[in-house]
Amino acid sequence: MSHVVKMFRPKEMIFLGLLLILAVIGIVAWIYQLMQGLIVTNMRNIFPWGLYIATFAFLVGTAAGGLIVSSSIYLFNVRELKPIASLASLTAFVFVLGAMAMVIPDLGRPERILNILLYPNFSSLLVWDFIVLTAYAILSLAHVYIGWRPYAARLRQLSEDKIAELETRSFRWGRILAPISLPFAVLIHTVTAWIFAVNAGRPWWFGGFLAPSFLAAALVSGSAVVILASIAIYGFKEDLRHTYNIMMKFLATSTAVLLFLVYQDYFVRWWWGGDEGQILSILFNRLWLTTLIGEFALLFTTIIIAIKLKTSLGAVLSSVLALLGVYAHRFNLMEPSYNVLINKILLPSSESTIPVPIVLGDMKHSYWLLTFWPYTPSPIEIMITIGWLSGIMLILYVLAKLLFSRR
Amino acid sequence: MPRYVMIIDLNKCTGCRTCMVACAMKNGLPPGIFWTTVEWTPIAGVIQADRRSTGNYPYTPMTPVHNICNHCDNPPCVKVCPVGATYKREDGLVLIDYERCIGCRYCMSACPYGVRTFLWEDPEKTLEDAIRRTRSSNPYKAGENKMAEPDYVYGDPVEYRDKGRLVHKSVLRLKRGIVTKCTWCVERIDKGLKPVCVEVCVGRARIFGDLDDPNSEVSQILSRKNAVRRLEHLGTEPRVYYIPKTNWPKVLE
Repeated sequence: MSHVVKMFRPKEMIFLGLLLILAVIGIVAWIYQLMQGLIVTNMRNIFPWGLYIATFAFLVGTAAGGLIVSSSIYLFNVRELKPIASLASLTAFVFVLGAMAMVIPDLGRPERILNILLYPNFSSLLVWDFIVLTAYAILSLAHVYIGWRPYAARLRQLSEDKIAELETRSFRWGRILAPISLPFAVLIHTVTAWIFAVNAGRPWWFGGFLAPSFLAAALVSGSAVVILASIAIYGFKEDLRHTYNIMMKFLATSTAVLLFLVYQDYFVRWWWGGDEGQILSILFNRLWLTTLIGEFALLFTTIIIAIKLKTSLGAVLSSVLALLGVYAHRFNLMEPSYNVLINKILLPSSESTIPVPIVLGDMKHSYWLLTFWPYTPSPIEIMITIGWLSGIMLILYVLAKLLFSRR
Repeated sequence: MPRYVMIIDLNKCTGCRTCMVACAMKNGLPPGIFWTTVEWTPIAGVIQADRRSTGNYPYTPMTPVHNICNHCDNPPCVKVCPVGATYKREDGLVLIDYERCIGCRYCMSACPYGVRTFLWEDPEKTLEDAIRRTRSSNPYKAGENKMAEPDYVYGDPVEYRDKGRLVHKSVLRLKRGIVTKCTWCVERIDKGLKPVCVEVCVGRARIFGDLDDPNSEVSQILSRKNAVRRLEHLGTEPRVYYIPKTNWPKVLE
């Protein structure tokens, strides 16, 4: 055990300790939420999904790193990414499990979660998402294992022949697994998007746009996570410069694609007006912070930094900004959907329509029948979300350090 | 197998909200939760500043806006429920198995009508809090009403199972963390009775019956009058028909 502790420098220990404290705070907040019920969140009947599900969608996206790197190596022959391949698969594994864990605090009855296995309803995309996420977790774990074998052999100082043999075998297995895991990697983002996109009652979600935009967002956050993890574990070494350059180029390209997808969608909705225009007015008025600053400014800066600043600072900065930008983009997933009610009645006088109000679901407020709910996450929601994110980072960091710290 | 439908005649509705209260009484809904709502909605431009409407009955410039579960024939909530807790019965009722629901609220995201309500906290606690608040602001002492039993709790005390699945129970006796909604009073329908909101409606604005029976009141009305359903273009095939208000004041026409 002591040699494990010795692997971490004092600075790292402080960082990990901080993550641990935040994770514990998150768990305590979750216990409080379990005792009080979901009333301690700011979600209500009119706004049934909030920060938890937005974070879930974000975390599914961050799991894309494994796909990007290993499919680039084995399918597109980008050999320069080989040194970080195992680490990238590890981020995919941890984040996909983290995404599934993020759904648990959102459930009203977490103790009944096994009902998904006992009575699955296969027309529900939540069930299919559970299936593809599990499959992707298993595939990522397989990638981690085949990458770890030659690494462990080198640590145990086996003969060069043995290591070379293991490396060939690892490469062969990687090439077999890559074409299997690629469709699953695409599927986890597609099916997660479909959870939302199939609802014709929600104009902000409905349609074929959501799945491609989820995929683009996943490529952004996935590559940003891989860059950050590699810098944290391996540092910005000279022999890895080319690897980072490729990843940053990829980050810049996919960010540009994401911004293009998002803004061409905004244009179409703005042009038509009506309910679609109301979505835009929510995005640019109530949610200006996440739309203009978070989504637009941060992602745009990401592109510029990732292209222009090819240093360790540039790599860290562009990745952090990309992650914050995509998280803001994900937060925007909820509000324009719930606060634009399409169930309306037509008034004879003015040809205008008014939405049919919805019961709020609590007695803390003087009003209880309303058409608009100004959602902001409650402190408990924020604590639980930060706790979960910290826990995921903690587990990822420790596992990466234990498995792949030396190349 | 009967094909149950409900008709809400907005010309007959007085907006008295008896249906809401009766539903809450029978189903034991805690304060702040209603399975059906009626909002007496003024029409912009005709209403004076003090929100009082003008016009002679029945030609009023206000319309009641009802909301109730449509028991759709193509229900999105049933399709999205990951555990099959929400299901559709052969006679058309969309019901929730309270013992299976995991509280993921996917159905609430899918329902375009917003009729589903989640139990964000224990209903009993909501009721206690509401009583405490009323007592502190009420000059009359609680318990002064000698007619009321001290530990009386409203709500139908009998639970009802449909093929073993718990589909009706006084919400005050349920625990938090599950989704509830209008059941069209499934336990009454199975006894040949009508839903409570239909039974109590003072203007007979709500009519319930079997559309497969050509002699039933609903068949007769639907063959004579123009009825609309909410969001028909979505293809959810709702089973609640609205007869829109036609008695507008002359200025509106």
